[in-house]
Amino acid sequence: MNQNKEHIAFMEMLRRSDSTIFKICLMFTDRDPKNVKDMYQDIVCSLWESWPRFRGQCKENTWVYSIAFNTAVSQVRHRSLSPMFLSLDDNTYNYLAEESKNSLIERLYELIDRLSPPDKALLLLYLDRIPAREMGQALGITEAAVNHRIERIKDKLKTLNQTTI
Amino acid sequence: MNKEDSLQELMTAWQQHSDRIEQIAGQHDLSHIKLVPRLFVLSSRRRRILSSLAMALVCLTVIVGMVILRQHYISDIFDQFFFAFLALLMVVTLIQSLRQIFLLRQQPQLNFQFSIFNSQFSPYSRAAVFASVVVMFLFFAVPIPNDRSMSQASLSHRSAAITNVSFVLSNII
Repeated sequence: MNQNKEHIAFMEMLRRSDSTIFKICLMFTDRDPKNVKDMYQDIVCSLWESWPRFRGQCKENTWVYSIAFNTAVSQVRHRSLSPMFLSLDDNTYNYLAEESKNSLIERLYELIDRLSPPDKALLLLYLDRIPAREMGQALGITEAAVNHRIERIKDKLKTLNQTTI
Repeated sequence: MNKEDSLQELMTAWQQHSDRIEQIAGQHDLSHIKLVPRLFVLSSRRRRILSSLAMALVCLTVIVGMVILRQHYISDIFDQFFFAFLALLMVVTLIQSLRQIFLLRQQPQLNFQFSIFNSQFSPYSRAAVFASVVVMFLFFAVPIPNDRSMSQASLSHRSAAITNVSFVLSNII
């Protein structure tokens, strides 16, 4: 009975956080539907594994970001070996891939791909207008470090933007 | 174009993209997702624990094997050195797995890698480098009680031995 409640609560959380997970998957992969699907699966695995330890110590969305970033960064470093236990519909991943083929969005991702994984994580939080304090909580760094790094990323993006025009 | 304009352009493009992603996520059919018991979820941390324990077990097996085989051959400095290396590697991998078990209970956080050493090498390479440095220190500093004691070996003898072992280690890593 308790297990069922936990299952329902997790699925509700997943429904609320689905777009966040998709954004992270798109940012940390090459937008290939297969790779996006693999990363989505890994992130859901990690969230499911960590779900019992979430006790509202931070906002739910901040917690999702921190787990998802952690999984995405480790998947980028080492290829995923997660068991294929999720049966996922392919259509969503194809739509996401199509959506990312817009020329402006492709250019955006081209710039993002040149950033390091921690910078990508910070940029996504910044673009999603997450407050600096929550960014710090999600990434395990201080608010001052967040602001400092944001400024550095802005400089990097400016340079990259000028060199790729 | 200054950096604020450049970022503003990026943010506008992202906002539109983000809205589209939210629409797609809204249509995502989550009923396909079948969650399995957590015990079967092999996260990267659990994988690291398992591989650390497996590595420690391999070291232990080789040590036990060598102890048994020792009845049939004469122990020399390489034998002692190899023993020390395996023992250290076993200890390091056990500490690594205990650390991962402890971290399993913690809230995972993104690990900003400021250290070049940490970002460039995998935990096993780091463990191997650490073990090698410790063994090298022991090799130079501690005399091994044996017929051919290290304390009696010349410096060039020791250097040659270390070069050989470094070569073997670099091949393994």
